[in-house]
Amino acid sequence: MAYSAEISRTSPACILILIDQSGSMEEPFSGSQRRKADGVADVTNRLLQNLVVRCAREEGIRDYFHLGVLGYGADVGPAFRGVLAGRGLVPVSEIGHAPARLEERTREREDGMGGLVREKVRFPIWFEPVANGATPMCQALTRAAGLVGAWVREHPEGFPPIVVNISDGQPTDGDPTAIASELRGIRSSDGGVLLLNVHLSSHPAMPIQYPDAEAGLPDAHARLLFQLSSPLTPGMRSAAPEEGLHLSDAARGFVFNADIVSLIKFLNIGTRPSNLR
Amino acid sequence: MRIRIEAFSVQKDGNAPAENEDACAPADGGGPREPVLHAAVADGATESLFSGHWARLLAGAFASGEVRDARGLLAALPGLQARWHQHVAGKSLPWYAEEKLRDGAFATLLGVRVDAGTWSALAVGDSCLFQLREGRLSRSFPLEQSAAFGASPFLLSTHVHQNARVEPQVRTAAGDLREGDTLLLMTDALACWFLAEHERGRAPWAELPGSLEAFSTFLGRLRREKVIRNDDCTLMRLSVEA
Repeated sequence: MAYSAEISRTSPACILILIDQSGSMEEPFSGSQRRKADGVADVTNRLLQNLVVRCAREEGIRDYFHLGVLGYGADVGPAFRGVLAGRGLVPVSEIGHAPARLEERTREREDGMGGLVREKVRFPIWFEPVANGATPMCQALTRAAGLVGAWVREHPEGFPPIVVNISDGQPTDGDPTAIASELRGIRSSDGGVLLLNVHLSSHPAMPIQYPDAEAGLPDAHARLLFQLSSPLTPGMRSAAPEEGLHLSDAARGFVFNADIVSLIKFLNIGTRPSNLR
Repeated sequence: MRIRIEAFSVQKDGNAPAENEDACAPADGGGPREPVLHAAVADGATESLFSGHWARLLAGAFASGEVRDARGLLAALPGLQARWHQHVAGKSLPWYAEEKLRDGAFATLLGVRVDAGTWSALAVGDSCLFQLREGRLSRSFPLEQSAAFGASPFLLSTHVHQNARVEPQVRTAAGDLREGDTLLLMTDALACWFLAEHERGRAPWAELPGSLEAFSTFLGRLRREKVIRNDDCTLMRLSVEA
């Protein structure tokens, strides 16, 4: 069965995040003061934080994942700053040890008895909001194909690479359909590359998670990103009810103004208790 | 009637022995014992921190006779949870460990009590007990089919606020025990393989080795053949002797 390769330190999975840093990300979300660029930085930081925490063990961080972040805007290339600057795919332990800064945040958490408790947490920040230049999405997908293609040659039997593209869906360098198809066509023996899209939009529509058809999507940008997105794997779909999601067999890896952390939770790196939330 | 206990545990392939998050008690196995006897296995969830320690606390509490039934488990949990929290408290942890520790640790528990020709068992999660009699599998508890194993069982948590959810998840079973019977306790990957083999009409109990070295070699072969999930594996064998 495809998408069932073990993810372990000897056979890590690859996750590459593409972040839209174009000038249009300066615009706010609908009905909000918050800029899309802030949304991109937040989604990216939360994804990395979640992946690092999942790999944390008593002795440190186990390298179940190799992660990369490509930015696209005025430039296209690796977006890490500081000690990771210029790096493509980086073992998750190095990422966990090198956030640009730790921000103290206050978070509300269910106390399990129907109430909420407030607690102070240290939240890692790797990426600050950037909004500058055009939206060379085709170039970004081409760079992604190069990186994950090399990964698959080195890990021909591994879990297929996952590429998460976070953008407002308005490419300025042409139609990304062909290069996205080429990217999804890169295969390990366990299946093709999974291309997931997070659409952060100014359009005043309700958030949408993992739709199975274009009908009902708010605009042409959303429909484009939906078309580029891979169908969810059987493992992702079968784990979805635990996240309160009920998905059809045709559900795709596309979300509109919503978080994608729920998808990453489905990557199986060991027993995950049903009562862990 | 005396019981001989053997216990073997081997970590997931690619991990160090110290990273084994399974626990069993009594851990050393040992020679024949007079009933009353308590034995337990517990499987710490990979996706939590210090879950091996939590599994050892749970298995140890059952084996000491502190936990005899569902009510006993519910009564013992707060004390065990306090001991786990004492173990992890005061450690200076990096941000990611601090974050993960907030989720607590999780583990299964399967315990069996043998007394005067009967056994009684309790289970939370997917560690399994099998009873063999006259060359046949006569009982399978709490799971009876290999298809019933999933990646997300309900597990015992170190968080006190989860305790209210435990009672409906505790499964219990009991049966009689005769000379020549064998009780096998297994954590999930091994139990799943065992049931799958039995469903194919085979007698997997005949393949189970009698030493840690042989158990390790045996698991290596099953893993290479990809007929077992790569996970920590624990086997306890309780053989009823004259």
